[in-house]
Amino acid sequence: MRNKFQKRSIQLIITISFTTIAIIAMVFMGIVLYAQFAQNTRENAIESNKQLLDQAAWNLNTYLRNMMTVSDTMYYSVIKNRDLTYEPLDKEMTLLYEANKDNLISIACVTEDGAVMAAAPVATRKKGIDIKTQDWFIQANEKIENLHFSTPHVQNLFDSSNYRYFWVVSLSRSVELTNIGRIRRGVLLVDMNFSGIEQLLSKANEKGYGYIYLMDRNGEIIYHPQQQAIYSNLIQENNQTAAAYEDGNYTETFEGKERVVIVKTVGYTGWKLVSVTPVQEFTVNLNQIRFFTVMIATISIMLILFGNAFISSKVTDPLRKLEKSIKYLEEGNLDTDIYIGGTHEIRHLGKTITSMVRQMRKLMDDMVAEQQEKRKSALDALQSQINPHFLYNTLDSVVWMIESERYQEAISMVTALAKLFRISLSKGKNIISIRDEISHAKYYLDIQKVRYKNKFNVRIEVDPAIEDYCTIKLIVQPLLENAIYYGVEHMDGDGEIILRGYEKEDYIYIEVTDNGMGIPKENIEYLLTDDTRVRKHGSGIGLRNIDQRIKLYFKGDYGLTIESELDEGTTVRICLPKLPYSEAYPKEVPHEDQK
Amino acid sequence: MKIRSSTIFRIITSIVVVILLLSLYYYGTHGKDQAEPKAISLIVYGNETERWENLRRGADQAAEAAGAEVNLVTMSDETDAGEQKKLIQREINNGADALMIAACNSTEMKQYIEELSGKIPVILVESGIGYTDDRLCISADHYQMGYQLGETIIEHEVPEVKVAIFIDHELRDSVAERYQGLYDALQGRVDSITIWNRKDNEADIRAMLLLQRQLTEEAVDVVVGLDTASTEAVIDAAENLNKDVKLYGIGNSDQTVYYLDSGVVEALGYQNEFSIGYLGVCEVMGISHHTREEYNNMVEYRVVTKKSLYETDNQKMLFPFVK
Repeated sequence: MRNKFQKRSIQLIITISFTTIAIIAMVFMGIVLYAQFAQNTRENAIESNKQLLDQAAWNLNTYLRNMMTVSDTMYYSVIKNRDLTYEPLDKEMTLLYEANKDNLISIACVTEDGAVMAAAPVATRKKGIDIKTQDWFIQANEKIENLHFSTPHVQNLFDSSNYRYFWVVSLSRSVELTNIGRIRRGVLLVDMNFSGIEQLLSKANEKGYGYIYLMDRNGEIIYHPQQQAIYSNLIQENNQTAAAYEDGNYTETFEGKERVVIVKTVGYTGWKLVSVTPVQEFTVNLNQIRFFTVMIATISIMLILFGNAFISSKVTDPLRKLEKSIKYLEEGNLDTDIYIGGTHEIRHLGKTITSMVRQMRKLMDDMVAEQQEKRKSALDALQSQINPHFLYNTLDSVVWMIESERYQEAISMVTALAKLFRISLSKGKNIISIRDEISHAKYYLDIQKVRYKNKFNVRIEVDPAIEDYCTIKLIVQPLLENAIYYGVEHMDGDGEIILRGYEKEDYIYIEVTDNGMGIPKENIEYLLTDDTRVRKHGSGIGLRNIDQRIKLYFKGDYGLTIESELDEGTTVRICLPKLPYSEAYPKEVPHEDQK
Repeated sequence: MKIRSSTIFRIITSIVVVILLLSLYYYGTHGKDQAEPKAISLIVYGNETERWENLRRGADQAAEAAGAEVNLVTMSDETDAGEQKKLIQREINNGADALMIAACNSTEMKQYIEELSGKIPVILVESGIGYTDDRLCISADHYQMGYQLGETIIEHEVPEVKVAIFIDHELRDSVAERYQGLYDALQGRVDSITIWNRKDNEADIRAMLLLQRQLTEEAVDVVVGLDTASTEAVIDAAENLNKDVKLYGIGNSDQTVYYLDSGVVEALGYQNEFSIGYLGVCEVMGISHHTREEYNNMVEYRVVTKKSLYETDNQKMLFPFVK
């Protein structure tokens, strides 16, 4: 369960972290792009509306200028400098009207008394109306030098036989009328068809966002796409506030809704064109974009999640298999096959672990073999000490001595034998001090000297300084045995055996030298390698055994070396490490590597 | 077979992704922008579309903002309830999403419209089907309009006048209420009040001819018409006979306004039918809800004379902008 969680957590960590990063990145990008898009949309919409407004203003200006031109033409080219008694206006007025009748309802010239002098198209003046009370007349006479534009109103001047009425914008001006040389004031009235203005602005409202309306300088609406609804108090417009705005862009809140307002003043009249765009209109169009953005982001996140889970699974599955095979290994199954698969790194891990397991197996096998070899060697060595030949020869000697009443010598021999065996056993230890090993050798030599009736001399030159170092037991005595049996046995008193022990650099050397026949060179090799040769004499522990045991116990560069010259003699040299001997040491000496 | 949790996860993820992709596709091809506009049928009495121009314009403006389209349906007759029912059914069969009805006969249309109300949104405009459901009819306060017209007559005429009230289409609520208001204003304040209306066997006779006969037979000082058609008939009859009678009426057609302007009609009462159309669409589209009483206050009415005809506020209501 815990392993399952840990496996899951690696996969989960990879999935969650990659997905989190992806989500954060996508959300951030989505928000930034959407915000930028929204901002751009808003700015573009405002710019577009501004251009529409400019265009509408230009068109309106052109329209009004045309009307002003009509009025100017009528006045300066026709009325002024003409005696109207002799030259009526009708013909020119009618021509001018006909030329502009798409935009005009009528042109009229009215005297200061309110009498219609001329009019085009020809029409009957309504009965009972007092022209002098009409706003266009009053304004024209108040500002004599100016052209006056009225707000839209229903024309209340002429009879209309087919029940029609006309919304007009009256352009009026004070004029000088000459009759029989007398100049009187009058008013020239050009009634523009309001539908012309309405069409112009309706077209502008077909494009872009929001709407455009027109108001006079006092904030009274002249044209609004929902004019009738405003007049009926069904909806409200913020025209009075907008009347105070100078030309430019504004953001206002009206009836709880935010909107962008652009104001532009129309030339001569002082009217203002106002473009209104509810901010909501930008966002409505953005809703679809927002929806698509969210959907695309959601789908992408789902795909990333899916992909991450898949990839993390692909990465962690080999790890899991590797972990499983290591678990078998943990349970002690060194023969288990370690999983090798997945990515390069995991394959490398698997191969390395496999190699490691192989090495472990070899090391363990080597250790087992080494221990077995040690046991065998020690057993061999021990067995040799209980060699029956040596024992019964020695006991024979003791019997002979007792029979010869050479009791002291017998006691010495038995004592030496006892001590010899005591050291041989050494309470089961394989490592003893050099002192004890040399003592063992001395006891052996004592026994052999009696047996061989001083056929050889022994010289022991052991440096006392080395006596407290370690050695493996039963390595000197066999060399002495070989020196006696193969060196000096047949030399009739001239034989000499020297036992030396000394230290040199970091090594301890124990040499057994004899002046016997020597060993042929070709045989020297075999002595340390071949243990199948049958020994004619001695305890049976071969030099190979001694060399092996030394190497087994001490590792490293230790063991036996043999130097021999035919007819000169032989020196067998033991090389040991300088390890101080203590009772506290374990029975086995540490390896070279562990020093 | 044991299904691994990772397999389940993959299946779920795949399903979710497919659903999202389908949603994306559906929204793209069947988004809000492509929604069809609602169809509203405006079924009115009479056979003149111009008479309903203001109401239709108001309905159109509200419909444009509400994502709807208004279809004006006129009758060949002023009073035939059977024909109006057939027209209503035809519009329903043609897929109308809502109905705005100016009932030609309040009594005969009452049950039919009440049954309709459960199946399709229905709003009555200008003239209702009685007082039972205050919410259904959008109009000015007809009673008050009639009353104010009566007050105007009192104001302009001497107390000794003989007043004839021409009631045509009295089966309409609007006419009945106006009559009641007018009568209540005049009662006891004029010399006499005479009711001119059709007899049962005069259903097919033109109103103008009926009135000409009445004008010939009876001497009155003032004649009042209570709806546009009646007022026009009164005007035509008086003009034809060159009768010296004072004419008053309710209804703002081009003709009635012209004769007001020319002095033939002394005073004209009218209601803002643009508001009726606008508010009717808002009500039937569910944009706004008001009681009948509230609508009575919201739909303005005025009584104008020649003198006040060209006042700014009166101009805006009596002379809607012509496109």
